[in-house]
Amino acid sequence: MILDDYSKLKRLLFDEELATINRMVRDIRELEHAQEKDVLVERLSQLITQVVSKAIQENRGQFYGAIQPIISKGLLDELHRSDEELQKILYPVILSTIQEQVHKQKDLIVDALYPIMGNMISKYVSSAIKDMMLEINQKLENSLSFARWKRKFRARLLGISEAQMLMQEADFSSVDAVFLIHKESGLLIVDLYREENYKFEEAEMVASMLSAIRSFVNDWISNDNKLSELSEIEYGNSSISIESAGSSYLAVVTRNKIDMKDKLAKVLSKVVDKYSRELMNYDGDTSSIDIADIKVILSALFVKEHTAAREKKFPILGVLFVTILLAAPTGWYGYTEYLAYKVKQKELALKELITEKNRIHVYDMDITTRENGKIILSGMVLKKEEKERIEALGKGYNALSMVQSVEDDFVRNFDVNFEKNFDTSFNSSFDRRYETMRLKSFIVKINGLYRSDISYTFKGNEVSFSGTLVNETIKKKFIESAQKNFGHRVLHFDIRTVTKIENIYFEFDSVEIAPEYTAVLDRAVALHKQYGDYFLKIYIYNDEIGPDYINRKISYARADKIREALIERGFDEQKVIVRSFAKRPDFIDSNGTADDSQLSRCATFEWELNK
Amino acid sequence: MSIIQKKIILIGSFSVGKTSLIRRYVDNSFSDDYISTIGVKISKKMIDAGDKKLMLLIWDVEGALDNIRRVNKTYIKGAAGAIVVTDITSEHIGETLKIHLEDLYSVNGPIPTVIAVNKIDKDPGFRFDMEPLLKDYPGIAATLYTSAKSGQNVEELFAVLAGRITE
Ligand SMILES: Nc1nc2c(ncn2[C@@H]2O[C@H](COP(=O)(O)OP(=O)(O)O)[C@@H](O)[C@H]2O)c(=O)[nH]1
Ligand SMILES: [Mg+2]
Repeated sequence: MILDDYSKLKRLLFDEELATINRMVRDIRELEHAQEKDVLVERLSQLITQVVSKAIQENRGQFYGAIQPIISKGLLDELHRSDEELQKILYPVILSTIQEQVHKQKDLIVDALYPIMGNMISKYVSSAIKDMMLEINQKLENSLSFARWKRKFRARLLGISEAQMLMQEADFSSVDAVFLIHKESGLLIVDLYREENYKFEEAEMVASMLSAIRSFVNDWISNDNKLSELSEIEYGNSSISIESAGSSYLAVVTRNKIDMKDKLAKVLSKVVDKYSRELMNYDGDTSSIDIADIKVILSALFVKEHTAAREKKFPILGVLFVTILLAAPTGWYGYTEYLAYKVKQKELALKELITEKNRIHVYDMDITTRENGKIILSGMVLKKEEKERIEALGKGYNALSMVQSVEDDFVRNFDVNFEKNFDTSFNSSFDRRYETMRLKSFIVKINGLYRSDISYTFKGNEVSFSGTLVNETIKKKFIESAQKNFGHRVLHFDIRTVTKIENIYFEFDSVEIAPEYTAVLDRAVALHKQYGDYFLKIYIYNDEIGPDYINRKISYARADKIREALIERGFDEQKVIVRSFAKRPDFIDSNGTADDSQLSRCATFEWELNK
Repeated sequence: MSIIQKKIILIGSFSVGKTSLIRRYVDNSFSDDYISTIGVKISKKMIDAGDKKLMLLIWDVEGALDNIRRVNKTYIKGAAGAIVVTDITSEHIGETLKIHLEDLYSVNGPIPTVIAVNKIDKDPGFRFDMEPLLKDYPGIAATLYTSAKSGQNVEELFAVLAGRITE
């Protein structure tokens, strides 16, 4: 094996540039006296084109390490700060150079990468003889269509998956293992083997390593992954073919040097068409994606298609060969977005059905779409009936409802046991979830009771409540109740009340609403539009001047006037409640002045939830 | 119950002890040779976090000899959490931590992060004030004083991060 792969790699990259470096150093020395840093950088960027770019791409700081002793610290900082700029300027120039070199000096690259791939692939080589035996013993399944029916039938009888069945009867094409890997994180999504014997012990680690190598090579070849990609790593009689889509890629281990390119693309596109969203959002949890179904799709890779199998000449045994494919950008990105859009539309329609058409208020509502387009609904409602209604509505959308109701036993129990289990530290995730559940049911109860829209946030030890309540009395009640239940935390309140409407005053003996009160009426209507659940209670008082029955009659007439004016402006008739009195309001005492009489001829307003 | 995979990365300046910390901790890993070849080494560790079983895929990402060059950003992508390592002998702890945190955030946003101040065996009383960093880097969940040599706080380092990731 090669003694020092890395220095070889380095030599490959830097030998030719040595002359340039020397020239550059000379120039730097000359330029050190120049005052203008911009000029300096400008001139340097011409010279260091190739060297700097490669150092940047190669990413090991070797370059800076090498020139650090020679050039001043200030200049180094300058160079460093403008990495991005430099890359942009230099990129077109160096791209062709590097690509050319990669092709010219293949063997050196091979040597450098060998130790990485070597261990991984040697497993296959050692089991090659065993494979051969198995392959010979394997009977060929004839007639494809017949075989398929038989397989289905047998799978039913035996209760095993079709994918498993497919693999059992595959006539051992050259595919040994298939990995579907999340591009960004390198996390393994699915691994699938022709036989138990071929199983990778550490498939997850291999997936990560393969991803690292892929990034390394892709970065090295080009800064733009969409233009060129590592497509194949060959080793002796084995090879890893790589086919990538938007957010995932397929790595397939084969032995017989069969050109799989088209087939890989076809199979991968099937997976991506169906699961683009799940693939995009994959975070290492395989239960978030229908693994079994993906396995069925991928298992097609194990089935030999004689016509498609093209024997290919391969390089001398023992030599690893990196093929760089220059591929046009794929269309997955656009398609992925389209699928995500369709999913979103469906989610919105369901949400509208529940909240708008059926007017069910779901607190903390969340709609997400999982495998096979299954929609998961969550949140909390007040009543059991509401919960059941949502379950029924969801059925039409193939949605699973996990919505809870405050009336559910287990939710109520949270309150019952609260004092006993209470632990102020609340550090464990269990405690936090417990507390979250309490907060949620508290809020849902409050919102149900007052038909309000209070919400909370829970960060660290702090809980913030915000929203609108009907009036100051209820706001006070709410705060008291929150303090009683959650006083062990730091509480913040940002609660508005449905804003007070100013009084309307009348002239003596008149039932007309003076024009100056138009604004008051408009405001009442605007608030009504916003808080449709509330009743507007109007209290009409009079001045107690003259007989009671006259005053009462006048009050009725004034009440009608206000009512009509409101309804005319669009106020829901059902939501206006009028109480007319012949007497003075409580806030004016009965033996008052003329001014007091004037103030007594008034209408006051109150928003209430109940009639 | 299914096992959830999580990619976590260790970044930090050269020689602060990233590779040593991982070696102390993991179940299995690729050879150290790979770090010098492609600048990254993968290790694996199974860990329970709350009611979840996690498989941590730990990326040992090589920094730079001179502390100036930064890590390959594509290696940082897709990480669920990070350990940013410094050591008590480093000269500019605050500044270098900032550089690495900046790299991290520019790629992944404020993912859960734990700071390891390593080689605490050399001066057990050593403390560094992280307060100024917390405001700009809200992902920082904790600072732990570790020693790859004695094993002090090594398990805790990964456990705290795993806990934060699953929260
Ligand atoms: N005393 C002491 N030395 C350490 C500790 N961790 C690492 N080292 C030493 O520091 C040097 C660099 O360690 P290494 O893990 O290669 O650092 P890396 O570049 O960050 O991966 C080695 O000589 C280690 O033996 C520690 O906790 N205490
Ligand atoms: Mg290291």
